[in-house]
Amino acid sequence: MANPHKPTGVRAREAGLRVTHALIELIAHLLVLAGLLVSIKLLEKFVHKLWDHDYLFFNMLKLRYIFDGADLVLLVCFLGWGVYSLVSAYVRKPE
Amino acid sequence: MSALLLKFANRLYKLLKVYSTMALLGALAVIVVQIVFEKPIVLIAAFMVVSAASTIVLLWAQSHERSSQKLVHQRTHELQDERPPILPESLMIVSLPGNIAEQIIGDLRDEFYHLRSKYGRYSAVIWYTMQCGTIFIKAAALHCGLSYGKSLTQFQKKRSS
Repeated sequence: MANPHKPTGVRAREAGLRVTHALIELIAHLLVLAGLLVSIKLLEKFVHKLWDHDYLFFNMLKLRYIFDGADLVLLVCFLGWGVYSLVSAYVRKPE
Repeated sequence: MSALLLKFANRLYKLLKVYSTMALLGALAVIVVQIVFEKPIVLIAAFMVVSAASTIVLLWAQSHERSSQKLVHQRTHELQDERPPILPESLMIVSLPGNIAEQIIGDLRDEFYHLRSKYGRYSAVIWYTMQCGTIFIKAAALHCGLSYGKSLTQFQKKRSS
């Protein structure tokens, strides 16, 4: 919580630092997420070039679903862990 | 500034590790789900394999624990071996009146320890059990009015009359 007895300048600086930390955290998450999603997409394209688009491993494993599952887990993880990290970075007291 | 960049790079590396692990797990989960949907018997087989593996691990851990606590168990067994057998003693406690039972058990215990030191635990336990059994039968006979002494007295009275 912000201390009301502090001068306005100090409080504004603290708020700015909090926002900066949160933004850095967001950028880091988005960078990693984008990199991984792009690499998964590229890998998927490459694999689809090698085999068919709806190729079935051992006549039971659909190739497309594997990449879809990885994408889904990444996004769900970002929604959970990413939002938590953002909020905690904003709430944490700046050094 | 460089410290901040280093911190940012470290953070990026940590995030990359976590996210890539999660992506890998997601892909594996999809593979497992597809296999289970196609052939549900795989689920039962996996369950059996996991059960067998956990049983083996538990047994292995138990055996290791046993070997590490062997001395403690040995000492405990030695202490337990010092006592006379519980079952005959309980039989006497149940069948005899309190004050008589204490005296008899005390005497029998003294004799038990003496025999144990002289002939070993096995012989002492056999002797103790036989003594307890005899005492129990006599006490039961007395309780039912079938004591040998009483019967003999009655028989003698009948003959004299």
